[in-house]
Amino acid sequence: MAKEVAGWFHRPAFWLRSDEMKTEIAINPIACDGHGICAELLPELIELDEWGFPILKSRNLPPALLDHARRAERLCPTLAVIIREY
Amino acid sequence: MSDNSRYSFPRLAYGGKVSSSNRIAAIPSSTIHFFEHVSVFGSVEPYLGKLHHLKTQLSENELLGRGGAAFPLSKKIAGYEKHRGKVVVVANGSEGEYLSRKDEALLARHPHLVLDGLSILGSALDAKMGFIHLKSSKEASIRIVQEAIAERRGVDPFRIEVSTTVAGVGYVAGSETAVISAINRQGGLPLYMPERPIVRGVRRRPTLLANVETLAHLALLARFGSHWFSSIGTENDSGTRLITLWLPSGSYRVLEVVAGTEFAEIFQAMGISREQVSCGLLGGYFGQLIDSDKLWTLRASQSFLKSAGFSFGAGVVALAEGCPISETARIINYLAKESAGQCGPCYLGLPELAKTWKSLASDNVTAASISRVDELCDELAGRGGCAMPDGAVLLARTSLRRFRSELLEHQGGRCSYGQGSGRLVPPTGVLAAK
Repeated sequence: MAKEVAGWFHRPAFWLRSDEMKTEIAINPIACDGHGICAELLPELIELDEWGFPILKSRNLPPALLDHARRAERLCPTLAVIIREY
Repeated sequence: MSDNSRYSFPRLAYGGKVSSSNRIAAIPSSTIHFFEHVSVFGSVEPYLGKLHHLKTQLSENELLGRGGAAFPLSKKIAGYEKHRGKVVVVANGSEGEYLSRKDEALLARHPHLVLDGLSILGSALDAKMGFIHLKSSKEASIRIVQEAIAERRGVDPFRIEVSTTVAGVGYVAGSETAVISAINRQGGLPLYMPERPIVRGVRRRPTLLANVETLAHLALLARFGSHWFSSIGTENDSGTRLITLWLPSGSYRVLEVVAGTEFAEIFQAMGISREQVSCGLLGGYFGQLIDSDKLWTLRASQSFLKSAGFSFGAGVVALAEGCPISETARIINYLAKESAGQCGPCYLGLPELAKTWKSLASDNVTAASISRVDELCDELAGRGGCAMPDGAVLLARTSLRRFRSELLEHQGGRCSYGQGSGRLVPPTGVLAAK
């Protein structure tokens, strides 16, 4: 129980406003199997190439897209979407 | 070699046959065992554990990495300094590049020089563990290195525990993350490492990888000092380097050349005339294909090649006699087959690129297929977990640009060279056996 609390408690997003942070999105090309869900959920940043694999338009993740990006991170079948906060 | 002035060249090709100009030497094949090694070069012990000494020597002249990326060793060491005591050092002798044979030749000749370099580097960073990573297909060199480690044990203090590990198969097995993956027994294929090995590599420790040739040069530099080291070569690029020269006949020579030696001189010493050669591959499969006229004007110096827009890569110069477009087609086809099959853009994109490029080598070249190559290159650049797609894209892009006139000939149904023998890529039997 305590560990679970610590999980969200220590997440930087909880204490810092997301617009004060630098947030980046990355895709692990080795894990990616080209399901294409990320491009459905985050078309602003991700488009698919001719084989259905994602191309990142920008590494920078604007705060407005953070929730969508988190959804893509969570729903990727191979967990290949990575969001990093600094 | 204790008399510094007398033995400034040859260095790594010690005891080998030297050209009349005293700038090119062939590396002999017999192994130098421990007693001979110590009597020639002296003991390594006084130079162990001296980071400051090492940094001074490296600051006075740049020692660029010889594995292909040409990254300065001093910068590499500076990055690992704050991890002193936790670092794992790895000598990378796994050369996945089919055309590169210098690491193999060096390890067969001077295993102790490489081990010296590894212990100098490792002890300077207070490393406890060191690995020497070798090609799996070369049992002879694995045996030589293991014997060399056994010879030293108890005689000469390593200060670090050195063991041999074996690379996975295939072209990508020599890349940094694949080496770490192999040592960690994770399969020996490239890994996705957003935090570089400097943070977490072998056994989750900061891991410093260096090519075996870099370490051999380091062993000499630490012993004889930077003044001796830079006594030959050019101002920007001192010392010597090993190259693998592939002759049009399909055989190869591993040579030590003084930095800045003209390619024309090397080719002449090897008895190659310009008429025999249509083009040459510089830097291996991640390099560029260059027409013979240009190739004859270059020099064997990383700084010179860099200013001319090329790179020495792992020191490969492979000469071919066939049509450059067909040669490129065969190389891209080989790279497509060597993909580890991990990233979609690589295992789907490279075969597509190879197929499109093959149509350029035939006599019905269309403008559509040329623009399709361009499009594929833009799509594939930077899309892999390792540098594999980038290498193929660089080769395709530069060949497209450089041999545009030959493509126009192909468009008219002519070819000014002929198909060639395809000796730049391994024979199909090698691929089938793998």
